[in-house]
Amino acid sequence: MFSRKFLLIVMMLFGVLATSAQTKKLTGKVTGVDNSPLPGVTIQVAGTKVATVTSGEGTFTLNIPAGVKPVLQLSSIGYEPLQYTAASDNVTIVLKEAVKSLTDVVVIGYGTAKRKDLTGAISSVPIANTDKSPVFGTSQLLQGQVSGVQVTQTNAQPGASFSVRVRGTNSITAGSDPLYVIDGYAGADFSTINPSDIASIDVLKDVSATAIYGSRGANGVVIITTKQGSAGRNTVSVDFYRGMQEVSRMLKMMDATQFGNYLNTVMAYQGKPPVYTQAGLDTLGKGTNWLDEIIRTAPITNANVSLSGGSEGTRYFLGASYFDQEGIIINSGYKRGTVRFNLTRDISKKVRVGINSSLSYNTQGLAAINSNGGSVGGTLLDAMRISPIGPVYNPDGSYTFVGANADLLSQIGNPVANAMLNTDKQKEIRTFANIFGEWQIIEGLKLRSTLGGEYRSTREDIFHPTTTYWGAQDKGLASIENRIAYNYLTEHTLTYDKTINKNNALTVLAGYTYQRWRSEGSTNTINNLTTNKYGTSNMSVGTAVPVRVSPAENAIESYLGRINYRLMDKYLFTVSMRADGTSKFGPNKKWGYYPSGAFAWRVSDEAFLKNVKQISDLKARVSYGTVGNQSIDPYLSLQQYTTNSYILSQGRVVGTSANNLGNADLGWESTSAFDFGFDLGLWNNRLTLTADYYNKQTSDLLFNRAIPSTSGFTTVMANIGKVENVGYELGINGVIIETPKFNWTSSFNIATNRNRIKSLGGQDNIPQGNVSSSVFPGGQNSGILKVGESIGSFYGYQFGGIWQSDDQIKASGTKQTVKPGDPIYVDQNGDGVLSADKDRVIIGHALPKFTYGFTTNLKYGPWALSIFLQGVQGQDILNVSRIEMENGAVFSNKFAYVATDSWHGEGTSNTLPAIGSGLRRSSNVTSDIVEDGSFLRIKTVTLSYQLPLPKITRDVFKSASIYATVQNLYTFTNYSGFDPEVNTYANSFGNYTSLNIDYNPYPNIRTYLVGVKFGF
Amino acid sequence: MLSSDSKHCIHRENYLKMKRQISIILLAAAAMFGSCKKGLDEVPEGFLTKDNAFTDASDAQSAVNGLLSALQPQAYYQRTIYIITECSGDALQPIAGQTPERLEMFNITYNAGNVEIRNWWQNSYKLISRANDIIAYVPGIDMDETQKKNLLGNAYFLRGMAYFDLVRSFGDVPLMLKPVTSINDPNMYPARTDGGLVYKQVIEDLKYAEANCFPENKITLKGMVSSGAASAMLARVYLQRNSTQWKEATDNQNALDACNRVINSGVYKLLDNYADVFDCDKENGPEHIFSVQFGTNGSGTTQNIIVRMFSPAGLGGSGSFLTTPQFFQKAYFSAADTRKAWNLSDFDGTKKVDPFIYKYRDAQWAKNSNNARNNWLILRYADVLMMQSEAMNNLNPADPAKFNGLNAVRKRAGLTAPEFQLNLTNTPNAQAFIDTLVNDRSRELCVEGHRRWDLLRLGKYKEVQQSLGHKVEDYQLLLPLPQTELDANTALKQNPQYN
Repeated sequence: MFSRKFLLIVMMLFGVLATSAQTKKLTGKVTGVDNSPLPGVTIQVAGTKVATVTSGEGTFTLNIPAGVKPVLQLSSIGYEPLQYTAASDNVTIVLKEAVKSLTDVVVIGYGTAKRKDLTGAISSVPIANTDKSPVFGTSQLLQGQVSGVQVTQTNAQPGASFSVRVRGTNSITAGSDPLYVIDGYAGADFSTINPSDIASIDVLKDVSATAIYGSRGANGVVIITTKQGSAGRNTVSVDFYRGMQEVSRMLKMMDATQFGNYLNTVMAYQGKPPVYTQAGLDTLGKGTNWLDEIIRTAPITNANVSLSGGSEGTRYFLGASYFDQEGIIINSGYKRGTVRFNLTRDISKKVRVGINSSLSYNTQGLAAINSNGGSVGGTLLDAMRISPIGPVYNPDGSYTFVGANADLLSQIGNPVANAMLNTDKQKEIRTFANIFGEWQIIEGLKLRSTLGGEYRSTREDIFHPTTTYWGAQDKGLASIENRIAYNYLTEHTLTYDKTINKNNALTVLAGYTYQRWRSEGSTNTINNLTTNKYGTSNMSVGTAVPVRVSPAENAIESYLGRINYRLMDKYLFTVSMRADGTSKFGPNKKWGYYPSGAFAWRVSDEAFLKNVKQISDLKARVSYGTVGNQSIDPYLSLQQYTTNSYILSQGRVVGTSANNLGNADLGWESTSAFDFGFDLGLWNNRLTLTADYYNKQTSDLLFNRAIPSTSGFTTVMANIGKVENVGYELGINGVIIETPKFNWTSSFNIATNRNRIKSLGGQDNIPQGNVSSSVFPGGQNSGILKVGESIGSFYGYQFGGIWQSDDQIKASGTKQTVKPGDPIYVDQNGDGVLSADKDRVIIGHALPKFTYGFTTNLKYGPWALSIFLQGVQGQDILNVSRIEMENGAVFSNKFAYVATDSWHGEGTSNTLPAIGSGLRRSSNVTSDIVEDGSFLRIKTVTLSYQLPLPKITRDVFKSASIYATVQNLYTFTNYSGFDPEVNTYANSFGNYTSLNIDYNPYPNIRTYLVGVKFGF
Repeated sequence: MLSSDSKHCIHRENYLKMKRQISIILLAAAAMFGSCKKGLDEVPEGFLTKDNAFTDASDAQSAVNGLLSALQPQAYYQRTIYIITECSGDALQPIAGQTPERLEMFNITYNAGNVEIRNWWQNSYKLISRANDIIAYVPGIDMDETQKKNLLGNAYFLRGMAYFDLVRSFGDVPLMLKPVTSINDPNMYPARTDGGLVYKQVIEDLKYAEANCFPENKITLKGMVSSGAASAMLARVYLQRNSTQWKEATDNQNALDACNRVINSGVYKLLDNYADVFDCDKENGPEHIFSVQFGTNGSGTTQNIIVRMFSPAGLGGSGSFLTTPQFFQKAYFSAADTRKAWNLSDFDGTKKVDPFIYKYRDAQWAKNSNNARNNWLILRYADVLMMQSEAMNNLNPADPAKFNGLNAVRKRAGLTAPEFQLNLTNTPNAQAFIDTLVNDRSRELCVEGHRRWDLLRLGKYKEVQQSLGHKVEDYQLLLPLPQTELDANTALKQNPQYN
């Protein structure tokens, strides 16, 4: 409908034109090499202003003014421009595809460049691949697709965030997340963007590319450009899929009979009478499989509609999507609706204005996943450790309160009741709008000004009725948290683009930006509820806890400049400089300066390679520069006097105390980086290869430096220490077979990064890393930061097998009180005792040796098959869950294999201690719970079929396909937990180095989807 | 076609026009963002800074409230206190199989890596630094002088108490008397000060508190430090110092005088019923001299984890600590003593369990929660009566009045029969008095945070530990300085033999 009307209007316009002058009519059609019609090709009659754009069928009509030669200039993105002289009134013109990738436009900071002119290491995510297979979140688009970018799911809770690292972890205390730039808006929110709205993702990896983002460039920059319409084409696309998700791997716990026997074994170990008689054991049966009770298969649905197009001077994109993912843990899920509207309008030849905007709304029902453990372990942990002997429901149909054996095991609340009755619901609305104006002041000189803002409003409702074990702790609890966060950004850049002559071309950029963030929140909580009937709808039915509010604000002001110079199209130079001032730092250190320089040499354009036909492209790149990191909380340079509370005369009083030591010298964390790389294209770029070496030195680390606690404080935020990241990256793309009928392409990328701590400001090591304070009540750390070692080194006792006999213990001369069946922890210094300060060693490394991804696409006629593999090699995982579920903590349910595989006499096991031994837990972090977490995953397999459409539908849809996808089909790994892609703690401030710890995260999912896609 | 000259001219015109336009834009931009310069200064909103945290009388009270709240963390006077003072005694035993630092305290195998020793050190200095803030900044506030000195007295008392904890735990310790205000502060890396000087400072601080804090019956905000609390603490300090190398000839007399000031004030008395001392509905009563206050669930205050820690699973606790079998069987010799049934139990309501500390209970406690109301008692009248007896015994063993305090405490516990009342016949000399005093104190003040210091002061530490099968070396009578502190401050030297 829409397009017909549009065509009518276009035709009417042409009609007007046709009668307005003495002209000659020229009609024709533009096709590709394969005779398929090419819509949207711009055709201009040389030397005139007469121009048009081809229709959806590739046809065009032009009125050539009298006396003008019918020389047509054709251009279209992705095709080589062509000058064509029409020999007749009706012509068919064939456009050749441009040499792959070289002419692709890559978005760089505050501008764009052709790939062939780049001097930096910039990877573009092949969005086309993901077009074939659906993704649930934008982070997933990056996963395994770009060398040097590691994306890790922190947990599989629907709507949960990912950890993204570009070229390793630079920082210890400050964030290592990259900067996201969406349609030019730096620091934009990236979590709720609809993946289908994305036109391109470019990852700026080296310093010459990121230095233009100065203080925010150290962790890499991810530039996302959303879709825009193109003139002359009105496109409708519709995509819908539906599927179901299941847990990718289920763990098997003991059943009731096994657990009864287990408890008797524990009692025997402790020299106590058994819990169950044989007759008692015989009545237990299978009991309740609590994991089955809380884990389900859950549906997932996505619908996406977009409309884009434009006419002379106007382009638009309008997209809407709906995504509904129920969680595989009962009563959890995520829903998201998004609308995007992008519009540009040329007001005159020299002035263009536009807006990029989006609106999203999401709701999230959060499963109670508690990574602190303790008596309220959360739904998953409690389902694993609760006694399988008790039932889910009382005879009257109500939920049981706690599990069986509650006097022996510490009490554990019914996890099904926990999941169903305790609710945590989040609602969030996010809006974003960025308006821009561009003014071409003179030929080549352009002013671009933008003003935009992002606003986010969140409400979280938590309710724990008194009837649940968790709720009973507070005698019922209801809480409402309201948060708003907004930021605004204004940017003004002047770009001067000048081709001086054949051999010299110059682009100069200068700019000013200012961005300010503010967040405000307040939390209302009541407990001691008088009734459970209201949930969070009536906050007067309990005792009010003082309201918490949390305002915070910060700002960055910047000046930036860059010069790109092309000499003879072969020698490419870039220099850039940015000055950033941020409010977060001390009065003495507000401003930081970030210079960079890069040089690239297009070797393939040299005479000596021109004749080597096999080499279609060869470019060498080198860059050096400095970038910064400022990802810390605001106000840390100030000494803050914060409020606390005390009780006087039985009533609450407010206190005020110094909460930290200020640091007026708090400043930037800076990274100086060197990059050398080359891009090679062979056989007309059928095979392309990109390789890079980099060396990043991060210094003045933002770090909570330990200070003598005699000052009243144990740490102060300061700039100390150095971290090094050195790595290699390789990406290969190949078109293996290319025939009209059969097409086979593959790509592979691999990256290795070596991380090393070079200095900790005078200290040799600092214990670091979060672990559950309930599993390790002493507040031990999971790891250590040690000079010469990598971030994420696990630190603890080395496991040396199982004590098999009293004789062995006696012969060893150990002074530890151990008995056969206890684990052996190596006494490194041989003094007979195990001491925390002398016998603990580094027992594993969370950071992987290398990461890789492989994609292959096969197309045969209407059929297409796409397979994506992703792997991580050489990472260790601290599997904390094994302490409670295997050996160490005695009184909770165990993995089923514990019943059979545990040590039960000399020679029965040298890996799993005796049932009842608590030595593992009391030794804190030990190497027997550190596991190799290497994996290779069949991440996605998609099979699609292009539907043969009857001609009659072509006005509505040009193409239609159906597809079926499996995500996380299979994972090759030796890891014993739910999934080796795990990071329980690493995504919150202060925990960025608590890497690869597995403690009851939301389990990973396998998804089966079928979908249908229509495109016009 | 235009001539190249005129073309140039037009270009020049355009150029000038453009220049003007750019100037306007840049000026507008400058006007818009010139104001942003101040936008890089941070304006505190949810917190105060030193400039506005000490401006009026309510600020001074708020600072003292904040100081008192530093007592509440689990890692200080909520839990660490009894891991340090009681687990290394003979009444409290951590359960096996978890938390090595508690077992190390119990087995006397602690070293510099012990987390609870670190907690004890760090939170003592945190309390000191908050007290130093008040002592440094409150005098500059324009307010009622009496109230100002009362508030300062609270700060001096708590600073003195913290240094007393430190000197008896570690010996020589850094003496910080002024706030540390920046990384470059000259006091950032202090060395250890002689224990004798630390004791002198403790006494000086407590004397200020005694002279300036309000008496208990004039205190409107119950829970603040009274002059009586300062007197009682002074008595405790003098008695303890008297057992060290830093003792002074006047210590016993000073201790006795301080006790008498408390007793003669007429403000305090023994409650009739031992159980009432620990009743959450009768807190801050006539026997309570100074307690760390804990609040009611849901009041936005800190509650006490103690009930959970000590109660067995059957009562809804975590059962993390037990009492030792020896203490359970031997501590109370008479069935008439009402204290055993209150303090200890081996019954969880349905069945017999390992004996545990039962004295901390709260009828409002939600099972399995950390939310009990129980105050932690630092000073109470029964202790003062027993300290009076101890000081008199030290001064003149032949004085029959020395039994009065001790006998009053026994009497309240139900030991009223003549054979349970002490006199010079059944307790003929100073040592015999000490021998019974050490047990009397343990029966009365069971797991109230005194045992380690009592055993050390009364010379019984090694003997009692031996009865539990623990070998104690002399150097272990002082705790090791935390390794983290030694790492952060190279000016500190470890206590001997901890390496």
